[in-house]
Amino acid sequence: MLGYSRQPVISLRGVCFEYAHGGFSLNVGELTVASGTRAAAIGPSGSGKTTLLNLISGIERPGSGEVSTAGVRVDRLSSAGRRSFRITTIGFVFQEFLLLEYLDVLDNILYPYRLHPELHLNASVRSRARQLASDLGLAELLARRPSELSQGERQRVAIARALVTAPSLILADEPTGNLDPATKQQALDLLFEQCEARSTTLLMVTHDHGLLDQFAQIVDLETLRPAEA
Amino acid sequence: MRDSIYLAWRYLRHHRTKTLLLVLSLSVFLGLPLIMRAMSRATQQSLLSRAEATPLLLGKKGSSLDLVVEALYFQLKGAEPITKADVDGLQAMDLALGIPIRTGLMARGFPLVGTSLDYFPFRKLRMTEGRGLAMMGECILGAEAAEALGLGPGDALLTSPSTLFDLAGVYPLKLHVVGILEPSFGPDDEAVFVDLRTAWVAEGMGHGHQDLSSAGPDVVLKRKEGTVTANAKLIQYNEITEANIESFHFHGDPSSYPVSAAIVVPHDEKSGVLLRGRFVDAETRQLVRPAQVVDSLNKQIFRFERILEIVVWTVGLATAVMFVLVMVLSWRLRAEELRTMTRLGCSRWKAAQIMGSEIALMVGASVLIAGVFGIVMAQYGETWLQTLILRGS
Amino acid sequence: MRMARPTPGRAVTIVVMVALVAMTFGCSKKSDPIPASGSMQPAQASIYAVNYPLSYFAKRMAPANARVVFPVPPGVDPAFWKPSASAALEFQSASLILLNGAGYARWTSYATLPQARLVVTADGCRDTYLRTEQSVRHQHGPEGAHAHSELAFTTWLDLQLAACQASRVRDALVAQMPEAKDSVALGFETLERDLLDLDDRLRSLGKALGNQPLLASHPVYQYLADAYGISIQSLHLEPDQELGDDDWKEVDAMLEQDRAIWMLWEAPPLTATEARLRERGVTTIVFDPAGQSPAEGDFLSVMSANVARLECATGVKPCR
Repeated sequence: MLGYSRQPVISLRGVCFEYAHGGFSLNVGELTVASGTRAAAIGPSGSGKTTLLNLISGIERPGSGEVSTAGVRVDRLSSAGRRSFRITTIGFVFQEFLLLEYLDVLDNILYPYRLHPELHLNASVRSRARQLASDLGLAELLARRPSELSQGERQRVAIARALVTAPSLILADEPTGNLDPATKQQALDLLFEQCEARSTTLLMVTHDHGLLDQFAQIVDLETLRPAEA
Repeated sequence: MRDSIYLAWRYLRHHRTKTLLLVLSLSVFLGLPLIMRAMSRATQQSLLSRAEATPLLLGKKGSSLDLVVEALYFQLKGAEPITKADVDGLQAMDLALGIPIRTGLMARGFPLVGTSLDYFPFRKLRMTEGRGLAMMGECILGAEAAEALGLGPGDALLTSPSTLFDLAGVYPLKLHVVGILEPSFGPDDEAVFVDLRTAWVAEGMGHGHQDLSSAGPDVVLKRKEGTVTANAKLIQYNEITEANIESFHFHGDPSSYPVSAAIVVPHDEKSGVLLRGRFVDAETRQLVRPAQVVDSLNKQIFRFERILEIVVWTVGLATAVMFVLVMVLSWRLRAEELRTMTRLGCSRWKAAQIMGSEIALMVGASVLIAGVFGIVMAQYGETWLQTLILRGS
Repeated sequence: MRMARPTPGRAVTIVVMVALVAMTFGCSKKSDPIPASGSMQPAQASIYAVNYPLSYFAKRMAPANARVVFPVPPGVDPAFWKPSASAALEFQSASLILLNGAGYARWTSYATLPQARLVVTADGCRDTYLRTEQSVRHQHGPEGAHAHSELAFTTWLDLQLAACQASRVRDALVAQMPEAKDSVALGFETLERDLLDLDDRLRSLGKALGNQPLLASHPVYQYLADAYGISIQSLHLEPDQELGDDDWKEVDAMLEQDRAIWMLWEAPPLTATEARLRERGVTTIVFDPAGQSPAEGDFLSVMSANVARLECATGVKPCR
């Protein structure tokens, strides 16, 4: 897509993180992901892929180093600041979808707006959510509960939820891990399409090396070095 | 805050069974003291209102409580009876109206109450079906008794033998139902009313039999100068009908026949004072004020009620603890939801707000239910509970 | 299309409205119970009597706005009348119920009547009531022998007792209608005078008769006999029925025992009966006990005629 900024949306420098209980540590020398990039993070189990996402989103704070997301030094923010930043700037797509069974599709999409005072749920947001749902082929399913949907439909709801706040960055943690091959590609195509349409940067954790050729940037946690596709 | 309440509401609505159970248990916890207090008040008021409506009660010297319970509430307490002569003597004083009450027998589980016609206007009782008593052998049913027995005017009802295995005892008397009373939400609803003399016949103090002057030799043992001795073949009637009513008679002087108590309605206050004065030093009789007797009973109930309240609050506390336990376990099961909320950017405070809203909504609903129930109980509870107490007594 | 799910606010509003409705209904008053029927006193005083003499006494004394009722059908002996339940209920509605006493009107012993409004007129007018000659004692069961004893109940044939009964009626009327006290008292005065006049005549008759016995068709003249010293032997004969052989044997036996020359009948006997009695030297005298309403006249005229017939038959006074 033309016109989008190529400024880094994700920038890590000399980051060291270790869990309080010990046993695992993550060190990142340098990592940048430019705005609008479609990036994949790969690595064996336990290599720190989810930890990396947590550092980028501010869920975790590094012991040392710099973490900059969408131009904000996340490592310098307070807990409240990081939460506020996260909910307004970042959208999450989880492997298990993590939709709420007691909310219908529309309410699941609008869920982030109910979690933080920074986000105000109003008519235009609802309208945007409906449009997003329509774009993702969910227009007829808004009143359904997640248990009434197929896997693919649930993933699309999760994608819509991630996009509803118009985030700068989507962090997807194995979003297609529970989908069958046909649905997987369909979901990916939708995710790519929506991110590209909104100039949203995507960093997706995946185990599936067969998908890597669809990404512009691969972050290999084993080498901790970005490898150009 | 609105969003927290919205999410809480949606969660509770989705898990409606669990929500309902929790709300109801909380409502019971909140409402139980209200119900208890209303029940206690209704019981006390029910007892007191009947007692207050009865100016004085004449009975044999002894337990005034037994006398009141037996004469006003028709519960058999074995109080010693007075006689019809006492009632006649009271009338002769011209200071009060005396209404005899004779209890002691049952009719299919309902107390048989022998009395006079004055009882019905005194208690402001009205017929809903049929007519009042006109002859011996007839009975009028209270509303509850009629409904429970499925009887109406024209039906028959047998009195129950006083002791089941007394083969030489009194045979049941077949009564003819002539009327049903309107509900009065008191002990009268469960009574079977008969003429005083009918009660005596039912107790075996009066009877009717075939005419001995014309009886055949199979019935007569011997005849000698104006005295006829009959044998056991003599037919004694167990039902008073138009055909045999004139054969019914009483042996001895009916004024010596027993009366459980007499309701005494003084003509005026002065008459009441004079009457009480006359019975102050009576050796074998007592004239009591039922309201005073019941009032002291209510004081005992009040003390017991306090103890009961402690029990109720203890149970309530246990309910509250269980409620908290259920909520804590519920949140543990929703750990993943909490993690998702946190990952999305929700603060712990916001998460607590959402969880707290669930509790607040349930507690609020319980308070509302208990409150509505309390309001309704305040308006109708006395009537319902009096009926319940009456059915349960 | 699915309807919008209710919000918490809407649900709370519904519940509050329900509560308000409950409160509104709760504010309505409970209706008062309506008094029992059957024993209420009517607005107009009504006096019911169990026999004709009492109703006559009441009519002589009661004010014009009071209703005196004697509901026994004509031709029926009030002493043995068996009223229906509805007739008994009618008595319940009376302001006063005048009973004779002495067991008169057996139905009052088994009907349900309002005790406070009963006036047993003969009670206290004598130390004891007279008993009938034949009362059968019987025994059954363990209680021992007892009699269904019959009291003699035609108390008004003793005119002084009748005056006493009338005074009871007066007292009851005054208690019921104190505003009519004066007129009741006046009515009683004239009635008493009339009754005592008759009493005087009967006393003279009794003296004149001395020990001369009389026969009577029925044992209904006990008080007449007792009050005026008249010796009366009673049989059980019906004036409108032919006497059988057993009856005549009984008559003859009595005549043999007591040489009676007069026989009292409650109503004129059959001509044949009268004739046969005459053959035996017995003159028939009609003495109507006046328990039931007369076809003609009233209690006073009937009793006066009774006494006149006795006076005529016995020669105490010339016949008219």
